[in-house]
Amino acid sequence: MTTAPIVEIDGVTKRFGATLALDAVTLTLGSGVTGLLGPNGAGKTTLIRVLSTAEAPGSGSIRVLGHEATGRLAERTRVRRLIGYLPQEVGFPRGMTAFSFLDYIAVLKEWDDTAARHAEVRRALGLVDLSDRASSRVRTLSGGQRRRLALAQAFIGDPPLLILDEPTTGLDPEQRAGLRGVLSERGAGGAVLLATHQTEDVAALCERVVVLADGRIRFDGTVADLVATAAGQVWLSEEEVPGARMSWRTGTGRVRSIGGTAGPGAEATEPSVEDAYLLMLGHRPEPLEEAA
Amino acid sequence: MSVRGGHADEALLLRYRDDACDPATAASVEAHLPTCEACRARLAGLGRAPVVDVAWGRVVAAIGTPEPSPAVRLMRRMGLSEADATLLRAARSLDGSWTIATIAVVAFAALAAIDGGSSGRALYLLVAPLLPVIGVVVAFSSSDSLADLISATPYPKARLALLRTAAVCAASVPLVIAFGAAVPPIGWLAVGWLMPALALTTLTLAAMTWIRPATAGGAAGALWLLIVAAAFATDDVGAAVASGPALGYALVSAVAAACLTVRLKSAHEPGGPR
Amino acid sequence: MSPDHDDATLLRAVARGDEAALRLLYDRHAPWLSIRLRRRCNDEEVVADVLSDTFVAVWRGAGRYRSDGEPAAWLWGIAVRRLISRLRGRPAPEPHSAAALDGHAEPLASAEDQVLAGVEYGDLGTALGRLSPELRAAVQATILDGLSTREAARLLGIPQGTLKGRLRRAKAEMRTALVSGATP
Repeated sequence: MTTAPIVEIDGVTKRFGATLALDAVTLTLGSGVTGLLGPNGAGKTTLIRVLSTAEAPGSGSIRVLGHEATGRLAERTRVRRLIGYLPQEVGFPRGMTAFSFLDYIAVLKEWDDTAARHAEVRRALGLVDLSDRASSRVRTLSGGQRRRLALAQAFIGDPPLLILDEPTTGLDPEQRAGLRGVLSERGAGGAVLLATHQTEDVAALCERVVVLADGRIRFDGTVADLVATAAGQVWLSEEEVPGARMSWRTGTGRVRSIGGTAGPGAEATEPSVEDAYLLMLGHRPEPLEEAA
Repeated sequence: MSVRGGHADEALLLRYRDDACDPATAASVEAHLPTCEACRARLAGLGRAPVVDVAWGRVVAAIGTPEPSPAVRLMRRMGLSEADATLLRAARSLDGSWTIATIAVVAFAALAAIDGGSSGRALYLLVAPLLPVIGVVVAFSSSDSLADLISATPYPKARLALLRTAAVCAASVPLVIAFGAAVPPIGWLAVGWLMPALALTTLTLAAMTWIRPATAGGAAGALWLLIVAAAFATDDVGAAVASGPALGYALVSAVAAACLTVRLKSAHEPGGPR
Repeated sequence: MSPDHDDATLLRAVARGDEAALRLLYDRHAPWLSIRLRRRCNDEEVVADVLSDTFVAVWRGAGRYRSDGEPAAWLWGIAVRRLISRLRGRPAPEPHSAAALDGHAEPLASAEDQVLAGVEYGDLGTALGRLSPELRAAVQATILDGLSTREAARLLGIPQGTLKGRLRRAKAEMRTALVSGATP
C-alpha cells in the first residue's frame, strides 16, 4: 500500500474554548479505505470537518493532492473539487425528492450541464441502491434510505477523496454489506476515510486503521497490527479473570475477558478488532475528556 | 419467411428495426406488435437503441423533480438558468405558500392604511422592508442543517448568497410596491421603504456570517421597529424615510456590503457552519 | 414487482407510485415504441422527447388506464398523440423512406388482423405499395394508426383539406388497382 499520498495532514490543532479537540494530528493517507476509530468526543468529527474544509483548523496544514485545504479561497475551492463529504448528520430541505436533493448538491458541485448532471445523479442513486426511489419524497424514506441518500451525494463526481462520518448508522446488515462493496471499490482508486463506531466495518473493509483518543492519534497501522496488540490478552473462562479491563458473559455461557491475568481454566482466544480497540482505550492514563 | 404462424421471427424483426423491409411487411409487423408480448420481447432482445436509454434518463429526471414554485417558474421564464433554478429549490421563502403569505401580510398592511390614518401608514412602513429581510433569513436558514455539506462544495458561496437574495427580493419587492401604490394614502412611502430595506437586508446578510440567520433577522427587525416607532411618536411616520435618514441608510448599506465582501473573501458565508 | 407480472398489474403498481414497476414497463415497451416512433419521425431528439413524455404521462396518469384494453396499444396511443403535439408548429417532418406504411394504434380485432395479413401477402399490399409516398402516408396515419383526420394532418404537417383530398385519391387508386388486379 505504498501509493503517492492523497492527503497530508500536518500538525493540525483545533481548540474549542478550553477543550483541545485535535492536538497536533499528523496523518498521511494514500489510496485505500482507512478506518478512523475513537470514542465519542475523541475528535473524530472535528478531524473529519477540518479535513472536509467545513471547519478551519487552528493551526497546522492540510494538503489534498498538493492543494492547500487551509490556504487561500482559490486553493480551498480546488480541494473541494477533490472531496466527497458525508457529515454525521444531514438535514434535507423540505419537499425534496431523492433525485432533486442530489440534483441540488450536484449543482453545488459545479455540474452545470443538465443532461450530464442528471446522468451523474442517477449513477449516484444506483451506487446506494436507490435507483427506484428517485421520485420519493425524502420524508417518505426510511432512516437507512435517508442515510444512503446522504451518502450518495458524496459519490457525485467520483472524487479521489471520500470523507465519511459514520456512513453505516441505521443500515441493516444487508445494506451494510452492499455499502462495503461500494466503498472498497472507491478505495481501489482513491482515499476513503471512514469514521465509525462499528469495529466490524473496520475489520471487514479497512486495511489500515487509525485510533483517535483525546485529540491525539493513539494507533496508526494495519488492522492486523491492531489486532496483534491484544494477542494473548483475551480469555474465555468460567469466571472473569482477575484484573480484566472488561468482561462479559457470552451466549455460550462462558466469560470473555479482555486484559488481566489468566487464572486456572482460562483459555486464550483469538482477539477481534473490537477487543484490541477496547483494550487500547482501556490503557488510557486519564478519564475521557469531553471534546466538542 | 417472415410472419409465420402469426409471429415475426428474429430475421424479420431485425429488418423491421433496421428499416430494411418493404412498406407492406412493416405494416403487418406494426399491426402485430401491440398484440403480441412474445414478439415485443424478441424485438427488445435485439438490443436497445441509444435513444431508449437517453429517454429513460429524462423520465427519471422528470418524475424525480417536483414542480418548481410559481415564483421560480416566473423567474425561469425571465431567463433564470436551469442550474440556478435548481439551487433556489431549497429556498423555502420562494415556495408557493410563502408567496401567498407575503401577499396576505402586505395586503393587510396596505389596507390598514386605506383610511389615511398614521398608524396604518406606520404599519405599512414597518412591514414593507421586513418582508425581504425575513425572506432572506428563511432562504438561508432552510439550508442551516446542510451548512457543513454545502460549505464543503466548490460552488462560489458569494454567488449563492447573491442568487438567493436577489431571488427573494425579486419575489417580494414588486408585490410590496404594487400594494403600496394601490392605496393612495400610502403615497410616496410605497417606494420610500426601499432604502431602509436595502440597508436592513445587507446588514442581515453581513450579520449572518457571524450569527444564526434567525438571530440576525430578529436583530434587524428590532432595529427597524425602533426607528419606525420613534418616527411614529413624532406624528410623522415619513420622517423615518426622509432624505436625511435615507442618506444614513445608504451609508449603512455601503458599510454592510463592504463588510460582507470581506467576510465572504475570508470564506465566512451567510448561513454557513459555525 | 417482478418481471413475471403482466402489464396491467404493472400499470396498477405504477398508479400507486412504484418506480420499479415503471422501469419494468419501460424496459418492455420502450424498445418497440422507439422503433415505431422512429419510423414516423427521423429526428432522434424528438423521439427521445416523445418517448420520455409518454412514460412521464404514464407515471402521472396510470390510474386512467382501463383494465379491459391492451396496455401496449394504450401506450402507443399516448405516444403517437405526444408525437403529434411535439410536431405541432414545426415544419412538416421529412417523409421517411420506408416509414410510409404504418401499423395500428387501437387493439386489433381478429378480422382486422386478417385484413392486415392480407396487406402483406395479398393484393391489398400490392395496391398499397403502388401508392405514391404522400398518399400512402395519408392511409397509414388515418386507417392504420387510427388517428382522426385532424391528428393525422398535424402528424404529416399538411392542412386537413389536403389530407382529405389525398385520402380520396388513395381510395380511388386502390379501388382501381384491386379491380384491375382481380381480373386476370
